[in-house]
Amino acid sequence: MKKDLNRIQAGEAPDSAPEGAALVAKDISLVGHVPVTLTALVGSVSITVERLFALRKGEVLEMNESVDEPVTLLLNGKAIARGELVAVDDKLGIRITELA
Amino acid sequence: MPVQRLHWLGNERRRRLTARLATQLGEWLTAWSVDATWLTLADRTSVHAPADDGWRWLRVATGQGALLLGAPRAQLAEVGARLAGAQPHDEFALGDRVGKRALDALLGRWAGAAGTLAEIHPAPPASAFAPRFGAAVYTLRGTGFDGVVLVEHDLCDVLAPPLAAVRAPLATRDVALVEAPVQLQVTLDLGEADLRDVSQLQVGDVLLADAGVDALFHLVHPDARPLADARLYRRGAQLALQVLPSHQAKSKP
Repeated sequence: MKKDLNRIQAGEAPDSAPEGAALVAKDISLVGHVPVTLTALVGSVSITVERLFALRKGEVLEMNESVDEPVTLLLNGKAIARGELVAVDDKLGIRITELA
Repeated sequence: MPVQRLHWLGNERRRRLTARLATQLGEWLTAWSVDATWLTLADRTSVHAPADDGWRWLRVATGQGALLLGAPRAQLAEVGARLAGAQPHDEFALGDRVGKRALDALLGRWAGAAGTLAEIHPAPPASAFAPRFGAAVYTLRGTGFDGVVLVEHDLCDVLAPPLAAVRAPLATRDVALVEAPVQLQVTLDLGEADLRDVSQLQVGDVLLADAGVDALFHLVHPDARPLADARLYRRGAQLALQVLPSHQAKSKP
């Protein structure tokens, strides 16, 4: 049986001001499963553009940090903690020493 | 859209130009056996363009620029008569002929080279007198004469050239660019974690990476993709890297 088809069109959104309390409770468990990207920032290297473009495989660059400097834990690019690099069995890890 | 360069004459150049023109005016007055104090040249940084009515403008143009003399028409006509000691507009037109030669000589002397003298009409625009376009403007005054001299900027550059300033030699862009410092970061991808786990982190916790102990670190610029991979070492008390080709850089377009 042939039926009439009507295209749905959204109405114009109202210009109403928000009111009342926040609708979603500030409970991290609600979004706890959301994945975030973690990166360890070990340190930095200062070189010239000329040196950068002349880098060859196997070349050793001295970093700006001493061996005792902590690494920084970045969450989606933002620093959230400091720690030290550790090996756990055959895996790399960071032991947290400072949290914001 | 016409583009007109802005360039002012500095005080030092104005002084040099004024001294040059004043000296030449004195020489011209002497050459024409006129009282050396008859006409006086005065530097005027702001002279309004004289009204066109009743003024006559003579312009001498050389290959290096141009210079203009403007004055009330009657006064210009009487210059020759004064120099020749003749009556203005006498029947032999002696004053007219002497005046033409004399003014030709004065403007040629000022212009610094033989040029073509011509009367121009209309008068130069007001913008020609604006100091921001690099022209020098003078009043030329004396008994029975009240004129204006306008030295266009091209001629100013020749008559009172800018002194060679001590400027630092230019480096080629290539040289400057390769010496630019770059700060690169050394990072290790730890992979992804649930927000819940991260929110519950505490001091002393160990966050394990997906990578093994031999994982490669990345040499990255904060605003760019990884430039190279690296292994982490130490050199004395400092951390050090051994750079390797970047797998990410090769795999990305």
